[in-house]
Amino acid sequence: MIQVIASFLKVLNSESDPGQISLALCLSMVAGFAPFFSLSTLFMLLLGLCLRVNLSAFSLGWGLFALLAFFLDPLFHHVGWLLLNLPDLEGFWTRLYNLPAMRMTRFYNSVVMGSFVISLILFVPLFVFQWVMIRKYRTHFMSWIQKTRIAQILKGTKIYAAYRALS
Amino acid sequence: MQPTGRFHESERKMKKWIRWWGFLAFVVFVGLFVAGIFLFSGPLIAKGIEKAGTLAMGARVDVGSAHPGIFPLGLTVKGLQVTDPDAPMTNILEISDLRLGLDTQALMLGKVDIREMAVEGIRFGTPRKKSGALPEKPKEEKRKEAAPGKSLQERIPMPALQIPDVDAILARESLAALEEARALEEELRAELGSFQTRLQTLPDLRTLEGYKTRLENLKKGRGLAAIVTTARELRELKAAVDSDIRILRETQEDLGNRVTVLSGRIRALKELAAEDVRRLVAKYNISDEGLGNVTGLLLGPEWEARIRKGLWVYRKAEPWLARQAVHEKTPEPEKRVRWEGVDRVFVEAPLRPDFLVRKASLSLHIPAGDLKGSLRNATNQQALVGSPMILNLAGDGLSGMERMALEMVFNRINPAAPEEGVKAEIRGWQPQAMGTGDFSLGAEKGDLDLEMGIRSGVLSGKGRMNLTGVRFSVADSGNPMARVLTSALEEVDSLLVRADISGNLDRPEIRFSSSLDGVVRGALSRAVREARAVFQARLDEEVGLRTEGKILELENRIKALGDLDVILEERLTAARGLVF
Repeated sequence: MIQVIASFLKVLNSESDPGQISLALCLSMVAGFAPFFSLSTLFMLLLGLCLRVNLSAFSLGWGLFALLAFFLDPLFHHVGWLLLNLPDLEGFWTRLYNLPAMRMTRFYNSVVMGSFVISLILFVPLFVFQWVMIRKYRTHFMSWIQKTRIAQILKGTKIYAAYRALS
Repeated sequence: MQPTGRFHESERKMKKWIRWWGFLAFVVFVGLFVAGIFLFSGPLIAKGIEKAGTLAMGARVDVGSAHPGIFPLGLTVKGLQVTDPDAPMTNILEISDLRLGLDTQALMLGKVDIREMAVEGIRFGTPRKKSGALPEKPKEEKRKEAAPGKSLQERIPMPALQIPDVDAILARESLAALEEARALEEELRAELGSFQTRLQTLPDLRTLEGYKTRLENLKKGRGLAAIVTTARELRELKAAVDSDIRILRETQEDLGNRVTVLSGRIRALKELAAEDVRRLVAKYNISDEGLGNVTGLLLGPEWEARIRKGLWVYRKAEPWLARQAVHEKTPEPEKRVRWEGVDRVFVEAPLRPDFLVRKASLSLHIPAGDLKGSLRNATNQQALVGSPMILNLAGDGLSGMERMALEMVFNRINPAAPEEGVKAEIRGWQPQAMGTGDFSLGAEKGDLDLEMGIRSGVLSGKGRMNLTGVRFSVADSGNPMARVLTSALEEVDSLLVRADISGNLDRPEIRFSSSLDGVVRGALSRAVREARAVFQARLDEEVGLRTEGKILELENRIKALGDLDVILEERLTAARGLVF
């Protein structure tokens, strides 16, 4: 747990743009909420790697959101099942269902659908919220935290140096 | 041309947001993942085929190797072996090479749509190096079929043509004629005794002589008193004589009646003896029953076994053909799996079968040579395809036959009324000896046609085999009937065998008939008739010998009764000679 907090602080204290960290967390949310073996996971991995987002934040967020999904799956199931059974959307879903590429996404699964829709709904608010919070953190708390003993230890590690070189 | 400032700005922004090495890493990662699947999934696919096949067949299914292909998407399977559950050291089916190409779009929709398939090196009944029996499954008891190699006598319930031992039969059988003779003998003895006793109580010649003397004395009387006395005594004497005559006449009549009755019964003894012979001939009959369907008895077990084997294969495949995939699942989840969710199934348009082999080319190797053929529309959801599954196989210039063709149609377009049909045709067949043991049938040439249908499990069909240059071989077992059969079969040059198939899958009934039936039945019936005549003659002779002696004895005894009649007649004559 300490290692996770330390990793998180390291990300926050890095020189990455707040937008890159926030976007990484949002993408990881979509990937983490979705079942592991799904096309949306693969697509989020593609975006995470191709877009210049913070990779540490992406991988850290993926793990955290996957853990959170473990508890939220019943909610995803209910939302997804509700949407998949809306009479007004029946024709739309049926058309998607008969498209080979869309069938592979398993959108017709209640958890896949629910997690994806909830992720989309939360994507922009979470992005803005995180962006604002990171900026506030860096303005008001970062200098204080960097002086703490744990931050000093982290900054002295080779991993941090390597990370700086990559980001 | 120098790039503008706006272009530089957009390039800078793009570089700021796009991480090209990340994209490259993703491509490499996905590429390696896909390559890994295709490189290392072969053994997994092979295991999957083995597991599913073993489960379906109830005997071991082995796959030499399996290799998936990417461009085009497909699969190659080599060395497929399916063990015969009834013979674990034999493969019921072996395929050396199977290649198939899949419809990618259908696969993305979760359907296995095989556009083209090539199956080469199909063989049946090949030997296995290791037993394919499943150790954990108790062996099913093999159905006992008419085993080849039985002797002719066992295969055909022929009358042995052995004339039964007449002495032995007469030793254990009671003859009604002899029984009656013994009864008559007793009665005659009793009657003779009875009449002799009765005769002793009747007036004899001395009594009658006494009457005569008394009459003559009465006639000599003189005087009135004597006349009166004489007249009274004469009346008394006449009454006594009349009474004796009546008794004698009645006894004579009784005797005559008994003699008549007993003589009649003695005469009937001959008819009784003849009846005894008829009864014994019927009981120890040399019958020609069981010769009604010689063709079925000779050829039936082998051809029945082949047809039953074919039906066994069909029964194995039938559950797969009968299984209909569910397309309209209930929208309400039956079971909510928390971490996996529930799949909502929508209407597919167009409807596609879950598994379909549109066209497969087949190369089948049989001992006679190679057959080529095709399989079309192989699916268990024919209603969605609208066409039946059709299997065609044909070969020309084969070893031992000019042409062979087979067509099988599995029509499940209407699942409620399935119709299956088989048509087989063999031309210019040079059959090897059919039958085993001490009987075999060979022919120079033959044509065979078979047409069979299965409608809702009910079988119907006809087969026809036309053989020319027929020759039979019957081992000389010393059985006279076998010799008769051999002699009859020597005259047969051609043979037309018909088979009528009926019943159902559980109890198929195959009835064979041919021109052979009449020939063999006629010859054997003649032989049986001759043997039966000899048997009857021997019985006639032996029963006659035993009964005629008794009849003579009885006739002598009845003559003794006749002698009593002479005595009675003599007494009656004497009584009637008295003149009053």
